Amino acid sequence: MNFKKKLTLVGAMAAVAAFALSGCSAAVSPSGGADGAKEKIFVNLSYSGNNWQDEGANLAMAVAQAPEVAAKYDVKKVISGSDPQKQISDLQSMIASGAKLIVLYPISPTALNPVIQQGCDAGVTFVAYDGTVEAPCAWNISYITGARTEDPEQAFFGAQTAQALVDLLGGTGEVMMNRGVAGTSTDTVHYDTAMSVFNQYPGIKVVNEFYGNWDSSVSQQEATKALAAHPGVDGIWSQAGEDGVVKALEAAGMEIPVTGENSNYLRQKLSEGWPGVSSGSAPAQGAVAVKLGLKILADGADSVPKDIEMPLPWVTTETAKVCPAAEFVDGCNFFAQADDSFVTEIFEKSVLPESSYTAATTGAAVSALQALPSMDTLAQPASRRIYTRGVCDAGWTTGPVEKGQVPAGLPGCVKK
Amino acid sequence: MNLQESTGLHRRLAPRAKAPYIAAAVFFVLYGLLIVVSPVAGSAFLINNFVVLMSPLAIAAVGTTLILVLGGFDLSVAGTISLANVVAATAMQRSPENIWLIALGVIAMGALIGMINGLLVSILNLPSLGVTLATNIVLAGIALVIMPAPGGRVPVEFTSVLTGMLGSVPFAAIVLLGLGAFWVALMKTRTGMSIAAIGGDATAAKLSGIPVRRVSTVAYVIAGMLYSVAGLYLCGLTATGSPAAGSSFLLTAFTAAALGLVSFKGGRGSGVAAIFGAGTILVIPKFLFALGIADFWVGACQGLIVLIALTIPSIGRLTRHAARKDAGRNTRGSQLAASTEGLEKQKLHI
Amino acid sequence: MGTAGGQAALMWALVILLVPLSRVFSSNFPSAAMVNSTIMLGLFLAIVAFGQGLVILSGGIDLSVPAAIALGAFFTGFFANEGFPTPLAVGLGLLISSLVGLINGIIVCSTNFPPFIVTLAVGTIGAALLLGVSQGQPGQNSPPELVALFNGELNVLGAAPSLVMLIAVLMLGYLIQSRTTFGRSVYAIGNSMKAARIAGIRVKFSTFLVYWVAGIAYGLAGVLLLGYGSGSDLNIGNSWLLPSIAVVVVGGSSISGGTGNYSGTVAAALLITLLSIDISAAGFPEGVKQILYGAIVLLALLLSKIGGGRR
Repeated sequence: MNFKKKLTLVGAMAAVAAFALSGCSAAVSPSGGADGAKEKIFVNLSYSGNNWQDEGANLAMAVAQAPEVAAKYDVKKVISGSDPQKQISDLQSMIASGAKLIVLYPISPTALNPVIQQGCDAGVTFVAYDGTVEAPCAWNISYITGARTEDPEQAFFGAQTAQALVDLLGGTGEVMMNRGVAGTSTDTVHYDTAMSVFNQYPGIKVVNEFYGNWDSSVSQQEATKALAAHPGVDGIWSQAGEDGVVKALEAAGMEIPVTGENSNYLRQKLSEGWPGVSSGSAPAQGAVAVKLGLKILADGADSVPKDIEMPLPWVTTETAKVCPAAEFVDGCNFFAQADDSFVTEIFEKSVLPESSYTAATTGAAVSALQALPSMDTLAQPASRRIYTRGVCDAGWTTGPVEKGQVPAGLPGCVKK
Repeated sequence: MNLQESTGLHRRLAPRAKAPYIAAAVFFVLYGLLIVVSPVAGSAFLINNFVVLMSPLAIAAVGTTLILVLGGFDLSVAGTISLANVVAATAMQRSPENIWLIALGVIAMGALIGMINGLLVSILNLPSLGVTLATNIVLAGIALVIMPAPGGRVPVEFTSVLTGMLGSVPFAAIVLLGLGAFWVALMKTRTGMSIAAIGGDATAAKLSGIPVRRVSTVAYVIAGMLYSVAGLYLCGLTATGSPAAGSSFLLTAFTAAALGLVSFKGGRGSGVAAIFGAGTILVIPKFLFALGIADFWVGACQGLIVLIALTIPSIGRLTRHAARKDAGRNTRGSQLAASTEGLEKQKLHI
Repeated sequence: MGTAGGQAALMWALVILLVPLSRVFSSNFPSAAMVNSTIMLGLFLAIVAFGQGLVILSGGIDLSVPAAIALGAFFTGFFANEGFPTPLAVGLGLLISSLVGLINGIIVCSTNFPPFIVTLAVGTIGAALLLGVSQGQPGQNSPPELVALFNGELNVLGAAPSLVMLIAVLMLGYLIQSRTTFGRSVYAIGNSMKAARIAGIRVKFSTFLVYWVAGIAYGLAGVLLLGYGSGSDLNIGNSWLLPSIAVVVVGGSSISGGTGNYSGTVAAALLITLLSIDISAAGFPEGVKQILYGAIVLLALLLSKIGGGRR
């Protein structure tokens, strides 16, 4: 009896194993063959399962699988999760398999430096998007230090949204801050630049800050807790997850100014008259990074700047407008059919005219790739280098930046 | 009765004594397959890369295994690694001339953390899982207070040693060899045998005169020091510090121990096998990558491999059982007893 | 059981005591908003902790919590958006999320593999399969009936739906754990598997049931979280694993099984939620918040020790 049971168990396990292996091998993508003819491109993502990452990955793949790219390159997607060690391992594997270009969402700005340097030495081109890496040989394309299109002097998501909140409050009031993931450099840059604005106004009092992990559900829970303690708060400054903040406010019956990132729900509320601003990180960056990498392969390393800033989107209560279909037309900027936490900024007309709602939601290849215009206008000013590279360029040193940037006086790089 | 006891003992010890060999075989077969699929993985450069990559997890998994052998669970592995990583990166940037002294200090800090865990568990008689759950949260908090965002630059004098070669051998391989030798030696000492005895049956160990509290505390101290070394090695690998550096180790360290066929019921387990288990965890994604397996399914394949690894001892048992059956012995009674006992211990030592 | 009952009474006393004491942390406390938030956020924790508590009571531990929560949330949203009526969508979501517990239960009861590693592996597989099936796309919008439970529009006989649900969960959980044959056999198994077997309890079947029921509880939490946030990311469950274990321990259950009662667990869920609201109000930095949180768990362990609880 017992023996039979054991036998059944082992049999069952063997069946599971066989199933697993067949399942795993069935999942082998057909393009994964050993056709050494084509050069290899990798799109390396972090964790998956939220709208931002999903859309960023879809758009990047939609561009990377465009017919003219697919004809020339073997393109593969790799997901590294949220563990830097796993990303280091995956990058090593990509380098070892002869990668030509790696477009990556970096989990850490610093931990990947040794492996990226290793890859550069082997002739691999690295383009990091959204997050940045400090390794000097990699290209960075990020909105972290980005400025508004209307006024390129108005830089930094954290500072600009903080200023907008101060303006909405008329310079006085109690403010709460919904931060990102504790212990990350992106959160620190946003927070520090925002605080430098708040600190200029004696009438503004930051009464509470909490970490929403850039997640709508966590943001909503943390905002609910904080609102219980501060029912008299006048405005909330938020990083991604602001749709959760708005929902917490609605449940508490409060309609106060909120600045946040690009969720469909915030923009919908803005269009209905909620006071606030929607700005921040655009998933379109992933696709732009792929195009940038392709240009470097085609035209050489000097054809584009090393440090690129994506412009900050800027939508207010006055400008929020629902789109009649799946396109940004006539100044519309969110979608009626999308989920609440859908990130609306999937278009970047100047550098990514081929983007579409379908590409962002399904990753379907775009039909034709448009040439990338000169990226020089999007080059990051050397004065903001310290935020993304950890050091200033040669001939520059750290110090407060007083000119050419609003708000003035933020720490940065100045000419020696 | 006597016969049953001896067969029972045989059943319990035999598969585990082979654990290092099985774990090593699994690892080397997978790495061999990797080389078949992707020959470049056999180059000295990539082998060094791989050994460096697996070192932090391997070192941490040995600590985890030690506490599992003691019959406890140590969740503070993640917090200790984060704290060690952050303290080392901060201090080394501040005084790059004292890197080796700082490394020693960090290991001493790990010993202190281990001692706190050990005293709470053994003197106050609190459950290890609960205590280390709490200390893990506290340690992660301290790491965040010390370093609010990733940073710190670890001097190249430190990283180049940890990630480099000593002659033609990776330094990391020497560290892991030394660690394996340390484990084998430890388990031959009175302390090591006492740790296993306590994990096997704490009451019996006490009755036979083993100083349970002192030995338990020593085990936690050793584990804490190992986690600190893992945190230092992470500094070597990434050349920087991060307050969240250790969080992913919470589950992978236990998975490595499981792939090292450790008994989660206490008393049995091998640090050497856990080192190979860590290697297996890291070689699986590389192998799947080389096969070109679609990204989303990698996690599912990893989970299945862990479940399959758990069945290996049962298969070993099955073959022996068949042999015994041929010899015409009726071992049903002892099997029943052993299986009940297994379940019983499973519950007590969680 | 007596000592666990004592700890439960202590927990309830602390909850009631802490409501006025919250004044120390904020001049706006105590308030109706504070109590409402505690009940609403405590509800999720209480449901997750019911499953975890049952598993711990039987002498195991369950690390598959995040995967089951995410499956429940994702598939409820998925089916609702496919046009299924909400009750059916919720039922299907629960059914799929309970598969995690079902498989845990089958493996744990038919082998002597450690629950720690079985549930870890099954959870990893479940989460990966969800990622594969959804291709990384997060859960869709919640059906409006679920949203209405939390957005303050609905009330049941003048009370917030979350309060009604909390009371229902408390009573149901207490009944299952302490008043059914199944619940009593779980206590027996947790105390001594050998004795339970001798007493004629169907150990394997009950063990299997424990994990399955736990999986359903996590799925239910996922469904409610979907309604609360009117949408869900695939990693929505990640932040609930360690708190679920902490609440069970703080509530006076022995981590090695056999003792505990659900009333204590619910009190602990409310206590921890209330404390986290207080800590949030006090405006400590995140690192300090975590240190305090860890210290509370440790303190609760000591309390249950002093209270005469056995190991």
